Amino acid sequence: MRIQRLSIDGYGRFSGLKLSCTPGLQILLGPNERGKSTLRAFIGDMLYGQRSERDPDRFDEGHALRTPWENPDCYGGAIAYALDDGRIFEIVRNFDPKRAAVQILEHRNGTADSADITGAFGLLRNSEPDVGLQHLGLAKEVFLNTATITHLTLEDLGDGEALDQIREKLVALMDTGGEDVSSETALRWLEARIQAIGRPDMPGGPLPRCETRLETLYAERETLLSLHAGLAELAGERKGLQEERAQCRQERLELENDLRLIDAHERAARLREAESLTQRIQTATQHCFALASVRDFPMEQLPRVQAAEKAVEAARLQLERSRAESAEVQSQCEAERERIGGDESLREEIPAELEKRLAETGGQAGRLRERLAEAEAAETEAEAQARDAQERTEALPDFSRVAPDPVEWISQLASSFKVAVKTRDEEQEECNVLRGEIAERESALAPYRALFSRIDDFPAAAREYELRKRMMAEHESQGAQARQALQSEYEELGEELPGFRTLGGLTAVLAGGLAGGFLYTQVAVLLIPCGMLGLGAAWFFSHYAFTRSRMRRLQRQMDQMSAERERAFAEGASAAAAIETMLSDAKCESVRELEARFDAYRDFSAELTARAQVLETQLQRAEESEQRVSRMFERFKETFARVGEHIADEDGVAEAAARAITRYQDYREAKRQMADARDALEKARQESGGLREKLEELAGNGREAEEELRALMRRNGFPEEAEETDAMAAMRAYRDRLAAAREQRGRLALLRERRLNLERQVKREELELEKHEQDLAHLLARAGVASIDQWNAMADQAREYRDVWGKRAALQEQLDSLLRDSTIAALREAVAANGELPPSPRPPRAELKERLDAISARIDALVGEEHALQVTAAERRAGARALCEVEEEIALLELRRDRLRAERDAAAQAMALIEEIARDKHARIAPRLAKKASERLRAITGGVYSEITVARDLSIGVRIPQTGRIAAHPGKVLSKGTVDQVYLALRLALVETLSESGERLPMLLDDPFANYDDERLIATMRIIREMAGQHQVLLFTCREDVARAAEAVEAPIVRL
Amino acid sequence: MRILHTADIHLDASYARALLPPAAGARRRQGLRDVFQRILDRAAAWPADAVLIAGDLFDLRHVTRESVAILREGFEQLRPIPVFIAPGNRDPWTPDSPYTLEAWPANVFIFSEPGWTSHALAGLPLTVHGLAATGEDSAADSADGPFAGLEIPSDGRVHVALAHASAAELLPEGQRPWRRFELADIPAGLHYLALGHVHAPASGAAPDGAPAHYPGAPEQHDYAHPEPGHALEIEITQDGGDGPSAATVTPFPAAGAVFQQVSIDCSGHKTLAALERAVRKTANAADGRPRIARVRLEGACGASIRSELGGLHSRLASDFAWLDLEDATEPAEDFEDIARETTSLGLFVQRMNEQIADSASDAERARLGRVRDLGLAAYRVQELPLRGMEGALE
Repeated sequence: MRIQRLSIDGYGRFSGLKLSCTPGLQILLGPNERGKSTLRAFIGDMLYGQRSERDPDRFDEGHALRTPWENPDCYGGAIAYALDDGRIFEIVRNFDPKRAAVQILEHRNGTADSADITGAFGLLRNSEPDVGLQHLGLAKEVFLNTATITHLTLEDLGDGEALDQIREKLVALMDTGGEDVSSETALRWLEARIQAIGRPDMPGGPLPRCETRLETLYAERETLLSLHAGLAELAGERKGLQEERAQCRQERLELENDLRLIDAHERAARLREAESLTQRIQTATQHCFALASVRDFPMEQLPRVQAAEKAVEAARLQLERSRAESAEVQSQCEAERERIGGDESLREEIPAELEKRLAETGGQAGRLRERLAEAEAAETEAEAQARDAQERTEALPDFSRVAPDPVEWISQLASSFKVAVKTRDEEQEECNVLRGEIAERESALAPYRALFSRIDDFPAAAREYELRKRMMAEHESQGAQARQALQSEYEELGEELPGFRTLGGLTAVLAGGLAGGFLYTQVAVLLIPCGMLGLGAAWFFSHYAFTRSRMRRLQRQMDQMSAERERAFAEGASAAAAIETMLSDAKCESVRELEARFDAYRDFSAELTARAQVLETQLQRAEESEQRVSRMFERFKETFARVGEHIADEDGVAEAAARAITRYQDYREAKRQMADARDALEKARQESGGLREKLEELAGNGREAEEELRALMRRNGFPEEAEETDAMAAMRAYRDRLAAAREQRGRLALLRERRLNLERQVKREELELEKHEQDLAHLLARAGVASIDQWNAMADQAREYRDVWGKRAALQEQLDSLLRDSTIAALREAVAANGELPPSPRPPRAELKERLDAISARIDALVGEEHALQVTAAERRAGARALCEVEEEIALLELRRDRLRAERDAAAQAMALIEEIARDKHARIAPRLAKKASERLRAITGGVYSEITVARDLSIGVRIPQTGRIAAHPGKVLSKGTVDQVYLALRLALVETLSESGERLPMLLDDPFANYDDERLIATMRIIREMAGQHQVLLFTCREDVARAAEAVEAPIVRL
Repeated sequence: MRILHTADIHLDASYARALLPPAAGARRRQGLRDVFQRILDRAAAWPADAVLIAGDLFDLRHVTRESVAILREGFEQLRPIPVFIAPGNRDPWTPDSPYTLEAWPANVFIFSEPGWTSHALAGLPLTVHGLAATGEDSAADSADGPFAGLEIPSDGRVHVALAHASAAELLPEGQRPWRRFELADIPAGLHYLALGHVHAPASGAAPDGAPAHYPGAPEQHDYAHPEPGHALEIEITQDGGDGPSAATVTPFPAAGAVFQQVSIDCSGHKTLAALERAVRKTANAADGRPRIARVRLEGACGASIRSELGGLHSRLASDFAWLDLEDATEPAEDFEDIARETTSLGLFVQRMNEQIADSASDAERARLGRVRDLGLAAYRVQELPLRGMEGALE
């Protein structure tokens, strides 16, 4: 599409503005706030309208912003543009809500022949005709965002994420046409939604919560169902208990009546027994009177008298036993004293200090002797080691003269040689790779070369071919129209010709007839019609002749046009033959396709040349590397010979270095061992000398202590010491004897002490016997008797009295119990009141009572069981919800679960499709985008930056010239301007790529050169100028330097 | 002779099928008890000579002790008016039924046999013939129909039959029959046939002209029944002896709340407030009785309204006894236009449009529509309420 003119009746700050646009590059220069953005919005609104995309009754918010400042009623304008296929359209719009209108015109022969084709377009949802969508294949937002290119507005153009941010903008443009939202954003949105719903493998979220709750509810429902069944069983049991209880109550009532009859019979029997008891009580009372004299005998003293008597007897027996034992102990003492005999003098203990000294002296002497032996052995061993180390050191090269640190020195030498060899190999490998690439590219280029080498300047030939083809088409079209017009005229004249001839003949005949009539009649009046008919005949014949002449001219013109057309065809065919042949050979359907191949050929050729240059440089570097390796090898051979290593070739350097290092390590180890052995020998000699001196000193001390010990033993009368040569053995014998004497003396002391205690005990028992005898005498005196036998006789009489009295009391108590707080009289009255009693029931009272108790117990048990059932039922019901509530919650939660699952699955399906579409689209466009963007960047930066890579996921990388590598995160390496230029290159490439399959989009550049230096600005302007051959470019700027750059490339400038 | 006839109260019914949450279900169950109490109050005030309950008085699966106590107390207060109960398929006479286990007042007579039994009142010339569902009826459903074996004597008394059964002529379409019969099967000599099982009021007549009535459930249990039923006041007059009789039937409405199911097309509402007004209007549509409403929001809806639909329930809930608000709206987008774009978004919509066009069922179409809806919202980073979280579990 190429915009031809803008006509603004009223739109924002503009009113009555008419602007003609050139088909290529045009600069719109004006300071800020002069309406550059307004013009851009005007183009979008004219192509797509201003109504809200979703509501046909409303305008979007831009409507109010663009209302004309001067005359709000005059709100609208027109845009005229040509499509790539040559058709020219004009859209006229009125944005005033009261008179909103749109008209789409198609201009066929300039503006003179215009047709209103508004009705030919479908309507969008906002009721706007879809002219923009049809002609550009893009929605309004997509068109404006894609076609409008401004400078990069990143906060920090130089940061490490700059390329990522550019990528996000490009992805968003391709995915949604916006600048912010891409498929990745959409995927994140959907992922967040799925997470918000919840997944089985993740806790939290309404769906897992819902499912968990449902599991709980299902279990609760099962529990409630079994609970209901259980409660029904309990209710059945309870009903059975109630029926049984009613039966038991009836039975108990009958038993109670029987018991009442038995009570009446028993009452009569009780009266008879009471009267018998009264008689027995009177008899006992009379016996008591006969024993009244001993009624007050102190029978209560009986235990005390008996105890006193037993105490006197026991004290007497104990006294006799103690006296006998005392005599026995006295005899034992005498016998023990005789056994002790002469060991009385053996009393002095050996001092602990002396014993300790003797023991320490002996121990130390032993240890010193052991250490002395060890020291002498170590001395011998150290001497042998020193000799061995000396021999090994002398056998190795003297590394102390080679370098201060031979290992580091050898390692450095080997490492530097390895690096040099590796560098040389890499350089050679690089050469091989380059040769392979060049060969590969040569073979790929061959068909192109064969194709395009036929014509020296293919682009010019192609342009000429296109031009000629278009001209021929135009000529053909014009010729056809002209031929058609001539043919039509010819045919019209052909149709008129017979009429003129017939009418001419007819009028001539009539005129002749009238002339004959005049000649025959001589009536002059006949001459008038004769003359008129003659004139008519002449007029018809003259027209006949003129028409014939005209037809011949027309025929000649048509023949001439046919000849010219054939000639033109012949010329065109000969001129286009080369191109046509190329099209045929290349199997291309259009010149544009051929041009694309030529572009590829040119790129390949340029790349091949560049590769050849690189190969040449690489060969030089490989040669230098080879020479450096040779020099180093010679030097190393000489150096390693000094440490006893001989190198045959390059491969042996590393091994020789390793052997040299090993040899040095052996040398160093031998030196260290020799020094260690000498130190050990010196140390062992010193230690053995010291030990010998200490041993002498200890021997003197031991002899003194032994003399002291033997003197003590002799002093204590222990002559056996002379028999022991070892002082310690003599000491142990002395100690044994001393312990035996001490034990005998202890035994004698114990016997003496026991004898004294027994003597004291005899005296105490004598006093105790006397006291008990006095107590017994005192008790007998109080009872009025003189002896213990007399006391016993009186006691027997008193005991009889008390028995009779007790029996009487028991009878009285029996009577009271029988009467039960009643009296015999009252009982007698009650029996009399019962009158004649029926026979007593056959089951005895106990049995009846037992049955009554059993029935009562059963009733109590039934009440208890019923109560227990009620409690059980209440307990089971306690805390249990109603089943219907659980079922209601289940129903709701199942609905919620199903809906959430459906929502989650829908989001997952949307994710899968979006991911697939985005992946395919990005992967398809990435290589074309990379190729075009690289070309643009190379041109903008003058070849400094030559390559932009775009991965399948549209990740962007730039080849950094300093390192020669592709960097996806160049950090601070790229300047702000370069990042901005990378962005512009990619945006230009994107517009070109998107235009490949459809209409070529015009580009609306909005001051994209904010960070450009003059050189790159000029270069960029040239590129844009070049691109303007394919795409119309409207460059909006407020900068004079941009205008100057535009002038340099001869671009037209419109000042706003 | 005055008789009050009711059936299908379904005390303690579960509202799971109506998707009511437990708290709202509990309120409805209390409403059923209130309905029952209103009917008994009417029987006492009229006064009725007898009360007939034609089955499904309660739901055996869910019946609670509280409801049984209320029944017992209500019947006790009604003394000496006799109450006849013919157990239905939802409250059958079974060993674990409250009918069997509970001690009922002396004025309550519960039919317990699957075949006909008769009970002649002592102080009134009324004989009630009834049968019970016993849980084995499906096997016992004979080909002769439930009226086989019922013979009405000509003894000068009023004869009324009480049954939970389905008259083929009066059974609504889609409802499962229970003890199916035809009106022609009704034996001659009856003065009135009191029926239960059909939840909508319906009436017919025996071949000899005796009226047969379904009072319907006095209060709805779900959205399937459009109108509530009522209790019936039956007045039977007889011209002495076995002479001709006449029965007048007057409905007594006792319903509390009303179930209502509506769909609202959102495309006609430009703002959320307008949509809110439309929904609220359904709450105030009828006779002022509380509404249990299921409102389905359909049609194309603007993004601004759709993003706010999640909060609509909380604003409207107080206007209803219960509101079930279902969001089935679609975005107000021209998917064909979007599909023409060459962007990834356009391709996505194009692919989804094709899948939707090829889908075989409405459900699949709706599902794929939701996939497209979510994808579009994701590309536009729009707020979109989560489906499945509408309303709230109390």
